[in-house]
Amino acid sequence: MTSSTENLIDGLADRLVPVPARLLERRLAFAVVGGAILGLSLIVGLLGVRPDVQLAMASSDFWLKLGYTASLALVALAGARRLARPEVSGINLTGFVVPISVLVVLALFELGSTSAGERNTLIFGATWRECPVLIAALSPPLLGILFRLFSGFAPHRPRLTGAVIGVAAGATTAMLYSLHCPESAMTFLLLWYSAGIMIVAAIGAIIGPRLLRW
Amino acid sequence: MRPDEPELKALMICVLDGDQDAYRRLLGRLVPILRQYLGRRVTSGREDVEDIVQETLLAIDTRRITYDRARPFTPWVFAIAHHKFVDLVRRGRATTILADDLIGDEGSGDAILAHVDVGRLLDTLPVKQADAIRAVKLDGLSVAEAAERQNIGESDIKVSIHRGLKSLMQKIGRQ
Repeated sequence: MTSSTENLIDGLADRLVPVPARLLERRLAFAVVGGAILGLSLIVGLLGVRPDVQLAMASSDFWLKLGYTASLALVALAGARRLARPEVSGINLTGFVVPISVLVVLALFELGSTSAGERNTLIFGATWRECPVLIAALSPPLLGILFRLFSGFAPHRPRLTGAVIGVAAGATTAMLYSLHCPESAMTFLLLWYSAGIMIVAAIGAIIGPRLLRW
Repeated sequence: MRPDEPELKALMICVLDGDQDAYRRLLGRLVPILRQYLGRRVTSGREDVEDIVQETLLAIDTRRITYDRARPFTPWVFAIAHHKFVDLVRRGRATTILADDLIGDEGSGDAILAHVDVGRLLDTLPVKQADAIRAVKLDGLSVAEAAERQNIGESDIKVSIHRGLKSLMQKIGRQ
């Protein structure tokens, strides 16, 4: 063995600290909760919670918005957790299909049971322009925290990992944004929330190869 | 999977629990394994092999949080070594791609192109180069057999493989 390799091994062994089981998962959970708190304070501070929030909480569409975004976030986090490991070269993306197809069915049902003249309201609501932009604009704190965390992991697919982290950050931010958002149509949720999440996913895919090199 | 997987994995669990002696022993055991694995691929000199061995040891250290105790250990190590090898290729250093790298089976941690569609990549090469690589690297023919099959000279086969693999690596580097 060459002496420099021997020295390296000695150096590494001397400063070894234990790594408890499930530390990666705990760090990931901590990062998401921390980033979500940051995002929530931005939304409450800058945009404000919708004034009729108590009334809204009694309606199913309020919970549907939370459920849709939360399930996308959970699927993305589960995928990101796998992609953090060097021997994982791909993940099963079908987990995303379930919440999306449920919402597609609900949105089609909603559109079908509405007269042609009112469909535009379901599609565009009053805030379609700002919704995706605000979701994307509020997600950088969480996205940054997740990227910082993952730059210490060992992802073999930096672009895919970046995109999946982006979905996690975008969907979590969208979930918090629903506390501000006054819209209630499922079609609106399907189109514009998803668009906001996809913007963040695209940002993640673009910066992934740069920031997740190791 | 390697026959010494259970032993190496047991050492790694001790390492994660903070056992410094186990760490010395584990890394000492990994060095010859890594030298062999990387030595077959990195042809630009012994210094480069040793550099990548050391970089792999460092990455094992800094990224050991990504090892899951419930999963096999050696595929994780080879995935890291492989990642460092690809990094060297991207930096444009001379290396050899082995047939294993092109067709490596799951779990060997050995498949450089595990995430790349080899067939699709080969289709982007000139026909002569793609055929030569298919014959020798994928179908396992000797250079002489491939030369006979394609009805060209042996040196022609060698040059085609060399050029083809070189541009393949550039394509992979860009991905």
